[in-house]
Amino acid sequence: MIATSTITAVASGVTALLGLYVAALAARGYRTHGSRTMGALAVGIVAITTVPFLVAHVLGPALALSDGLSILGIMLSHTIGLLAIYATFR
Amino acid sequence: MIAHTSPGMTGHTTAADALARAGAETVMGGTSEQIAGAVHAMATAAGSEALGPLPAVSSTVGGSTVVALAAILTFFVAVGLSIVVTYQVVQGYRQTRARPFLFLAVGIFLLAPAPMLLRFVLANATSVPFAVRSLTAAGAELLGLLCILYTVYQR
Repeated sequence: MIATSTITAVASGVTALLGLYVAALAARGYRTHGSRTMGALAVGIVAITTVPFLVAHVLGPALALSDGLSILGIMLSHTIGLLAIYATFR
Repeated sequence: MIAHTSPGMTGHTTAADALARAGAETVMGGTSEQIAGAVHAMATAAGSEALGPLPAVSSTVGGSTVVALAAILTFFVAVGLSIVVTYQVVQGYRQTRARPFLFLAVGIFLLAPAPMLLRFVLANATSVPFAVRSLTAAGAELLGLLCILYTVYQR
């Protein structure tokens, strides 16, 4: 029987990887066409999907961060990503 | 992140303990999952302090109350911002009627506000198990990413 935490970690990991792939495509669009929207989208997607996964499953355990600090880091990452997208769509 | 105490070990529950425990109990399966738990725990702690000390179930490494409150505040800022961003993209679609904009709007909604609100509501208003809440939120994020992927391919 697979542990619940493993299943949720795998789901988060898949989301993080797909996020990284979509962000890479958007970044390529930014480099090729100079589209600021695509650049912001790339930053936003990484900050919303990949960084939270790294904080929760890599940095948190590695640096022995408290749960509060990990959550704060994740939420700050979300906010920065959303601000990046907000700035170009304003 | 959970450090269980030895059997029979007891202590007193304070708001800080409850906040810390909420963070630990949700074990990094999601993001706003933990915040939702922390908010719920804060309300519980307020009640428990009025009733007197409760036996502690486990000791945790949740961090200080200031950090927990900052995290909760940042959560609400992120939710508000995600709704504003989604609204902006929807406005963009209404002006241009471009199909990629529609998918981008749906994608951003499923990626940002939907999982946050889903976790928050399911964790506080219902008794849905943690795994179901977490997988539902992850599913919404994946669908959102697929919608954004479509947009990126179109441009």
